[in-house]
Amino acid sequence: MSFLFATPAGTPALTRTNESAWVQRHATSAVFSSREQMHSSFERREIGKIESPARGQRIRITHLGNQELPEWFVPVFESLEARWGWEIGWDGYDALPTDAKRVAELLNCLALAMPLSARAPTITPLADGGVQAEWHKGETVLEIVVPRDEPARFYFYGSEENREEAASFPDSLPLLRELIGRF
Amino acid sequence: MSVPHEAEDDKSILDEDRLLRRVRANQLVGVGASARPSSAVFKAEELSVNIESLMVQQGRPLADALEKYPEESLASVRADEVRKFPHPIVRDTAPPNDPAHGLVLGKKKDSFANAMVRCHQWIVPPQD
Repeated sequence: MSFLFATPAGTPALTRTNESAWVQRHATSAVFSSREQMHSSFERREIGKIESPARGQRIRITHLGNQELPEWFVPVFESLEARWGWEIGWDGYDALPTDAKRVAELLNCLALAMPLSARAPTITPLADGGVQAEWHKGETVLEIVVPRDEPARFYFYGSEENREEAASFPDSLPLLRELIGRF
Repeated sequence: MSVPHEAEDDKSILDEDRLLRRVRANQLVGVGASARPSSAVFKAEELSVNIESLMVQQGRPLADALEKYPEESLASVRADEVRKFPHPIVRDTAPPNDPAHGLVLGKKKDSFANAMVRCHQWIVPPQD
């Protein structure tokens, strides 16, 4: 399986056969579609593989773009590699295997939201096959959540001000960027 | 699972009862003494738990929940913390389930899952 993600922030990473569910679900897809025409000049390259030796499965990550990868990519990739849920019941209960399409969607979300040098989040699989990125500082937490069957969203809890914020992913993007900057 | 989502909260599970949930290494954030469960642990729509009072009635140590999963950790949340949210707690002990098995039902919001992280206590903390 191969998928794309976008970098730097705002760069579309779509083809008609590989568009992410996040883009499909939101009105901003028109923006990406118009930019898609520029992609013929973008370099497409494989930048990593995540393998399950026990199960003989391999996920290839492909990047579409002419610029260097953001600093956060390597730690995010390592987190994905270490924490991927491969088999049904990987959590000791009834979890579904991590869905590579949801991972691609999360990478696209991160590319859109994160400054190039932002602190990398930890990646954690969800029981429904989705995946989330999470930052922690004390009890303050920020999550970008990509469930299997719902649009991407983010959630923030600030312990000092006992403040919660939650929104669908492309909404409140400036707020999300500001929150990422806290970590 | 055979318990319908519209099931009513089982009031025989007392507020001070603890609900136990296994946590795998790939669901931990932080390391060492600061390690805690990711909120992802508490987001399953049918959240399986072991009910402390049932384990005590059955004469089982709480760590028995890890009998088949010795490399995992065991977290707990009190029933009254769960009941601050609209999620019924029910028994689900019919074989082949664990005789102390229960469920926290309903679609979970991120606010619920993170509240559970903030109030959790380790029964068996992560191994270094």
